[in-house]
Amino acid sequence: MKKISRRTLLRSGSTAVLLPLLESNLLPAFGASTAKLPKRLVFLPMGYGVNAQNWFPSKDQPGTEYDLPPLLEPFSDLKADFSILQNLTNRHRINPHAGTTNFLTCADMKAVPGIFTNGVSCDQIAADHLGKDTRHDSLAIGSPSGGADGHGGQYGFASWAHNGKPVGIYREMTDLYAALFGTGGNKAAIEAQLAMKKSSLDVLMNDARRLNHRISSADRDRVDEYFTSIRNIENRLTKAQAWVDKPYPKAPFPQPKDNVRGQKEIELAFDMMHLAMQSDSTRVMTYMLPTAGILKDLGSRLNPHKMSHRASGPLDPESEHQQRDRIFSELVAGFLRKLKATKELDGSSLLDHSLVAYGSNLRQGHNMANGPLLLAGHGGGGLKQGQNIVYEANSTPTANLWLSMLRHVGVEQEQFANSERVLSEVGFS
Amino acid sequence: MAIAFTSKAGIAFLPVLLLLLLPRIQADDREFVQTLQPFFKEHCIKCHGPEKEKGDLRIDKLSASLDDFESIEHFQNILDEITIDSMPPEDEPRPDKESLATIVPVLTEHLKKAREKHSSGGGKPVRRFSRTEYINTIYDLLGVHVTPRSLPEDGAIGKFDTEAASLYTTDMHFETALAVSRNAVRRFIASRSEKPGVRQLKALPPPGINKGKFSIRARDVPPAGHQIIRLSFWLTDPKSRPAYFGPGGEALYQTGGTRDAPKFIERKFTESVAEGWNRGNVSLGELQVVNVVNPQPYEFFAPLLAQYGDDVPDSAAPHIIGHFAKLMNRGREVDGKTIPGLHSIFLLGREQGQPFWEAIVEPMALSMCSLESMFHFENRDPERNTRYISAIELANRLSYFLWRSAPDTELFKLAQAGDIYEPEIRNQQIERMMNDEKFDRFLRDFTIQWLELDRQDLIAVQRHLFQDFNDAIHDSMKEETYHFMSHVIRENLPLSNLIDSDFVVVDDIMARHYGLSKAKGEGFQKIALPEDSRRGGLLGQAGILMQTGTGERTSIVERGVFVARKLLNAEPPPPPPLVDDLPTDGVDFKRMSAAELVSRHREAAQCASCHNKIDPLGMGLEEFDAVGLFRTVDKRLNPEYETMSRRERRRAKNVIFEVKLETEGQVFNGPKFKGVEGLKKELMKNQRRLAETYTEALLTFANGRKVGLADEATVEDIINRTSRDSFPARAILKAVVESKAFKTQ
Repeated sequence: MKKISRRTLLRSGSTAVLLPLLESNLLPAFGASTAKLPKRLVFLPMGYGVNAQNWFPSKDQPGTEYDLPPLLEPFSDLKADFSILQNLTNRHRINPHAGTTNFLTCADMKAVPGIFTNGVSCDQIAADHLGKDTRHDSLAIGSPSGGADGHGGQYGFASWAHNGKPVGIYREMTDLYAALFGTGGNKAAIEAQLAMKKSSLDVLMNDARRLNHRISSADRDRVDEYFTSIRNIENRLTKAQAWVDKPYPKAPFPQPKDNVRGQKEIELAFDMMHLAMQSDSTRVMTYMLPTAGILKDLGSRLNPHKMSHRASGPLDPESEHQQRDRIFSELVAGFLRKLKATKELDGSSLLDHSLVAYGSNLRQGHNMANGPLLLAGHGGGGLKQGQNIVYEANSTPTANLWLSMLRHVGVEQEQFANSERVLSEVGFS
Repeated sequence: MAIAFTSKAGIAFLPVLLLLLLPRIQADDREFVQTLQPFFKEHCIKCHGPEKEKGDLRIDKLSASLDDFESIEHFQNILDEITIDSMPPEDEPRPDKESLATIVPVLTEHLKKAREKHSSGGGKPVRRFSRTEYINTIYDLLGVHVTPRSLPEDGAIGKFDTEAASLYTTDMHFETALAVSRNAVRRFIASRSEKPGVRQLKALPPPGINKGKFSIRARDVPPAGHQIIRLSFWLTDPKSRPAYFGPGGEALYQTGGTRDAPKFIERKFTESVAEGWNRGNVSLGELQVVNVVNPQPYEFFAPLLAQYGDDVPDSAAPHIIGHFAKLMNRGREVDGKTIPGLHSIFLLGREQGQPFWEAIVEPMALSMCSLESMFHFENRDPERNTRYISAIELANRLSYFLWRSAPDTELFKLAQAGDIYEPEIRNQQIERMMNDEKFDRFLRDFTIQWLELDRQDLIAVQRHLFQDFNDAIHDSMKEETYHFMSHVIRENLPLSNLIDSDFVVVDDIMARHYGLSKAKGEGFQKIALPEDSRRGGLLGQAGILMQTGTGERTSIVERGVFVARKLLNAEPPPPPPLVDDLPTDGVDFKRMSAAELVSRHREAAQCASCHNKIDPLGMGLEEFDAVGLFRTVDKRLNPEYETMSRRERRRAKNVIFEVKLETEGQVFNGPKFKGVEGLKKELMKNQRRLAETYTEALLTFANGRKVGLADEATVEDIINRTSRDSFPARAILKAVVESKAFKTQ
């Protein structure tokens, strides 16, 4: 089994030492000291599923007294901070190669035959609700390998807007870094950039409007998407304008290189997500975990898809799939540990106020029922973490979890996609 | 069109039964519904209604509207089924003659009216450029390479990437297009004074090997153009067996060669990067480096630089921007207000202190992201009094179909002179375009998308069962089918070659896979097959045989569906919702023969109606295994294999067992046949159906929308005109380009 890298240990282990410095740098831009502590949601789709035999706890040990299976071992010190939710199933099954595509939407992708259809993802609904007071409504993060990691090929996006179309994602760590810490320059320089961008969009918009009378009604919807896209970008610029006076948090490490891949890339993403939460730059994040780079790290010649065909089997230190599952566990656990070590102003931790959902539409190989799901964090209180919860197999909608999480952060909604109820077993109401 | 299966998938708008309740319905529609309703209630609704939804058809949800193509197609299928008496099913009471005599003319009339109403040919929807088109356009117009990864991917397996319905636009599409455009413009500008041509750079010493790895570094790659690094190598130990090696550990190239006769690999770099290689069992010679500079930037800037040198005054900016915007507009007039708008961005940049060549980037990049540049924009002004598109629009349609990219100068000029509508000139141009190397893009993209060859990327071959299989074969399979289709189309061979041919087009790797002796020479070559060979045609190609299986087992169903869809123009409806796949997991199923397993389809009536047609087609290919090799028995892995660890698997013996093979099949209601030869013989009797499929696929790819009722006359006309010559592939392609649908809105 590949050992966790020294660098990760150093990073996670030394968080506490770094903190005083970070806290002074990264204090939320405004409001946090008086307002109630914000709740935050993080979604971590893993693409292909896991080696089920060594990832899922025994179904015969429901409740808090259960043994952590080998592939979840890295979470052992956090056992009271998460629950394993077994048998959640995305009932709108598409084909297994569509991976993450409707993981967070749970939408019926076949609703309109012949035409690609998706619904809005839960993270975007959360962004509408939690995103008003932060620089970014939400951050959707991926990697250059993208859909090939089991997230669904060309439809390999986890975050989908209200019109059922994908939300733009940060694929390069350099871009994420720029979004979080800015690209430098003083207020005047930033304003000049914004002015340039806004004028540019105006030019294109005016240009396109002049063509209006030449567009037939049959083509109208498709052409309108062009206008909508520009308008959405304008709205983001307006928000950026409003934030010009508020300084970006100071970056605690230099800008990463563009070609960081594999385990280092994921560590970096988690570091930045942690900082995003600490600095209250956003309260909603979705990160599609990349697998391809990890396989390269391992010196494997398999691509993620081929790896997924070799998922089954007993515990085997040589199995690429199990090594990946284990590394994912180490990295996600490291992220949770950081959230736990980071104190809010009242002495509670970031993890106390967050919910982190880590899982997949696929269970193992290409099996699309009863996917892996680990829900961590205390979401501001009221939850009963530390459990192994076994729901009814093949029929408990994954949408139940998304509805539960949305309601928990204050979205007043009775239904999400094909949800049936909230997961009261975890303490949701 | 397809009568073998009940229907294609459909959307419903105004339910026929509901229509009666609506007060404001037109009298014609009311009469239509009132006539049909009693018949549907008596004979159809039981299986195609709220209770059951066989074949994805709900008669109660059909609409009487002449504009609802889905419903109209259903009505066409219903009429077809009733006419050949295949519906209602055999065990149901037959409709009496009288009621048939009432409804058949009503349906026929309705379909005729619909056809007339939409007889323009349906035209081509306005849609966003696909990623491939955008990248090709930038390369052809600016000489700059764009990595596909920098833009969101389009299309999906089973669809053409030109289909408007899937080409949606989001913020992401816009923002990535703008980023790509900025980068392309910067490189375009950076190459402004570089003389185009091919330049041999100094040879580099052999790369150093460190821990069995080495790296190749491309430096000073021209911004508009690329660098070729030629690597020479030979087997360190001449006695060692050839292996595969490549960048990033991929098994892309076969090792070989001797010190005196080394082998060569050419790597093309479009950016200055380094790539890491595993050494394999080879020694390396020196690297030859060649820079290729494309002429576009030089030609664009030459007059300007001749006048001013590199110190261009601001007053020249509107001219540069206008010239560039016109280029990106692909020949269409640029609106008078566009240039001042873009120029204002240049001025803003200058005001903000940017140097000239930086301030000019943004307006140029913006002109690549305008509605007209990002979309296949055509003037749909209702004031226009003709359905025929303009000459420049036609030039664009031609080049985006046959070249997947922008028209070249010659096409622009002909269009501007209005000559493109002259049949003789157009014919010359079409011939010229098909003889140009850019036509390869069409051949490759059409072949891969039509035959869904990307399915091959999703197959993981079971190496324990297929020990001689490797990545190089996997990669060559797709190439084989592409080269085969290229040959058939370029040489204008009859489409029957797709069913059976007396040749294959293979490289060394495929020839060895098939056990054929290969003619001398590099790359893919046409070689004649022995008299008794069963390899000819698409169905003998390993890639097709592999992509319709699981990499471990063959799938009779998937193969049957492939034959139905691609060779017989019969689109099986999707399986009814919530039906499970055939069980394959239990021990009993593992030992069942494939034929026995699919025979279970016949047990359930809801499966039988379609699978009785699909499965017997796939049976004919059972003598090929999951990687396309001949077999006499079906080899399987013991169920215990699944639960073994890697080490156990390596040591395991006797994990393979054999199951009986059956190959008897049937093409719809034709005579029973055995094996692939029997199947091909039956398919040869149905060449007209193959010609229909091919023609419809071309029309879909060309027009960016599904072929519908409105295209029926076009297809029929093309088929009739080419049947005398046994449906020559290139002639059909030309007929599609010459069809009215291709030239009208």
